[in-house]
Amino acid sequence: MKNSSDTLPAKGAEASAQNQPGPSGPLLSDDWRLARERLMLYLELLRTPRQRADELAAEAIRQAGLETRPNPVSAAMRALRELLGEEKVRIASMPPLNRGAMVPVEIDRQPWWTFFKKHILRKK
Amino acid sequence: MNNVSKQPWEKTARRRRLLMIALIFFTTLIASSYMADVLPHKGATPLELTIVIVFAALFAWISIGFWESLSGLYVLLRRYDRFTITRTVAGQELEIAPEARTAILVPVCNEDMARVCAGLKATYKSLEATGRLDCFDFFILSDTGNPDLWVAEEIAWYETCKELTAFDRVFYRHRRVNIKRKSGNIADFCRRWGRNYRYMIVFDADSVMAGTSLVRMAQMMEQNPRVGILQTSPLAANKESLIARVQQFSNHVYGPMFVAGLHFTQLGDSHFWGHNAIIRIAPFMEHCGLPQLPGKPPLGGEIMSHDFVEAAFMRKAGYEVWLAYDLGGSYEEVPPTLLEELKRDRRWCQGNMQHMRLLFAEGLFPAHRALFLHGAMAYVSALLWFLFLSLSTAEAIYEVVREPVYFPAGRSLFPQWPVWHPLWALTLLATTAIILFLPKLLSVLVILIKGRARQFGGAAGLLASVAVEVIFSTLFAPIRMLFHSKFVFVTLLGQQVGWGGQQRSDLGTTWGEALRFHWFGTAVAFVWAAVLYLVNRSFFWWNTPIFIPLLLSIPLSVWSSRAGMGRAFRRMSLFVIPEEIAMPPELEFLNSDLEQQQARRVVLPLPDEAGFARAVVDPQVNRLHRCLLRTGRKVAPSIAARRRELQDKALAMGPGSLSVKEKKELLYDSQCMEELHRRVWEAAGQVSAAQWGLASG
Repeated sequence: MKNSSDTLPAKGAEASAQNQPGPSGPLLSDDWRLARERLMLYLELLRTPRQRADELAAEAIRQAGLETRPNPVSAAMRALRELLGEEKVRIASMPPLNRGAMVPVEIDRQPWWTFFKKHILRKK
Repeated sequence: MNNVSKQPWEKTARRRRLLMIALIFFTTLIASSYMADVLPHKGATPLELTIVIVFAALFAWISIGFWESLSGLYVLLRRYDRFTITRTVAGQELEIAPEARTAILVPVCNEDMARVCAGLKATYKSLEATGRLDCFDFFILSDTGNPDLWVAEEIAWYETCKELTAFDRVFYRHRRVNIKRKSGNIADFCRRWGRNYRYMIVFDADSVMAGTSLVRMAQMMEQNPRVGILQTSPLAANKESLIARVQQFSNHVYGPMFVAGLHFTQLGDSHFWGHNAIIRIAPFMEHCGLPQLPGKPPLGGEIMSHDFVEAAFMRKAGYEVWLAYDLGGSYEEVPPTLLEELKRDRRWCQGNMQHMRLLFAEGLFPAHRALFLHGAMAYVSALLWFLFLSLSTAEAIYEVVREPVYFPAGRSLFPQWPVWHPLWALTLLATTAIILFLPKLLSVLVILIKGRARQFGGAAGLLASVAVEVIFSTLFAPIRMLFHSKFVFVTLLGQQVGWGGQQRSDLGTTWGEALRFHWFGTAVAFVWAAVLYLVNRSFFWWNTPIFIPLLLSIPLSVWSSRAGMGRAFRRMSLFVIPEEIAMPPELEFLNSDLEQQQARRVVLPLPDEAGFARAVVDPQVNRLHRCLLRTGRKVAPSIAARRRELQDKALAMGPGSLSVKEKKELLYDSQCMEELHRRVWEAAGQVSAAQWGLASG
């Protein structure tokens, strides 16, 4: 889908990740950095503004870190989805139905044969 | 409407058709008797008699085009035509009654949605500019079976609606089962929403129309309640490959005179070409539901070329079918390569041949029976031409190898000399050339008289283009003839063709593709030419215009498909069309929109054709897709288990591991798609994530 100009580039997450506090201290371990990149990509696809995306990613990582022996990517994604919540969107691509009938017409492709059957054979 | 009084145009049409039949008959009679005279035995042997009969059928066929063009010339040069339908709304304001609502239908099947939506947006904007947008709705009616393209359609529809702020005016429907193909797609629309509208304007995937033309069409239907279908004459534009530019040029230069000629003889019994036409929905729903033909495809089963049949049924129901030959602002695109054109012709050939089974159907008007015959002859004529050439070759060989009989049995004063008069043959050839090429020159004359030469790059450019076009059409005619003959032959043998999407972009033909398609024609021409060269050299020279193009068919097919070649001819001011000199706003919008779409940045490193993967990975696309699915359906535990297995497979081996059927099965299940989306994003393995475009930098 179309990208707006206020979204993050995919690799911008790496630079900002260096300064983010995470579960293992001020610098993220490789696993948590990967998780953060995944979160930032997800938020970029949702066209979340950069500042808001940073905040959400940091919060998701913080919450994921509270889990016991978490898998960083899974836990962070779960936490992010919790934070975002399920937005109830209703998009209708079609108008309400207003049904009518359209039946195939019957055609006699051999009217001479029908005529023959109807008038000549019947007389016999 | 079945029992209606005769209209004044019907009497005129009858007179004109009788005149046309008489002209065709006498021209053919004279030419055929001349042909018999040219032959060594004056048509007295069975072989020569067959040659004369086949020649007569072919000459009658080309005479139809000739006389139709001449009547078109008469219509165009005469300042007043009392039967032209556009006259009924001339000078009116662009007003339509609010209840005369019109649906613009864009049926698609595995199409490039960037192009479809660009065309739709161009039409929408043009309609918006007329101030009458409120009377129109747009429907993209998808029959797409490719799951990746299905998702691409949903994305394209959503983006289009967002861009135009038109969620309440531009609709999208995807059909699961493609019963009766395009005609079934339109019928499905009629059953669901047809009652909401008085008219529908059917588009092709590459159609674009000006807003004023759309409003005028609705006005003409309002003004003429007897009209059931009103067809416009679409102008070919917007392509750059050489063969497409040649076709566009022909369409612009020769087309207007030809369609005016069609109008002259058909009047209210006209064609419906399936797109760029407006249809009165209520009678269409009542009288134009297509039946299945008995038997198996290709000649039985679903009616493939539905348009001619629908026009015949509409007319049978008492409604008229008119051709608005002088209404502008209606555009379409031509196939960009010879191979694409031939693929399309194969489908049309099968469809038109099927019409022959309806030739004697009860209640149809004679004019529409003639149209069925005309449509079939468009392809059968190629087989007849091939037959004519084969018989002529047989005659030429036979004359060489047989012992001449100067003194046949019976009494005779003089010996019999089998004489062949080359001068007579040249005269016959010249007559045929006049029948074929005079309409082209007359079309140029009309353009020059009307002062429109500048729209074609000036008088010199126009004349040079026509000269080069004649060379091109002469070169391509034998190639098309051979393919069309094959299509007719295999259709009669019972082979069916697919009805998939078309390649509409100027991608060109590769040498490999050309070799695969044209090797047979090249080989046939080589053997044919070699035999004639060895046996009858004078006849060989007569046939070089057939052999040479066939021998060159591979390079001709490749070079003519190239956009670079088309642009080179444009730089030489050849094949220029008015839309290239002053581009209409609709086409300008279309092109700039396509450029903008290409320039858009992509976040996910997934190819454009990876629609399924996009629907799984992209949270917005995933949500959109799930929103558009039917909801609340529970599936049997066995089906649910199978779908879980498919999810596991997709997750472990990536989207490429799934077949089309498996992708579709997952795409139809909202819950599965949601779960797969979650599992892909939570996948920790780098390899697995990379398969879905989530590779870490």
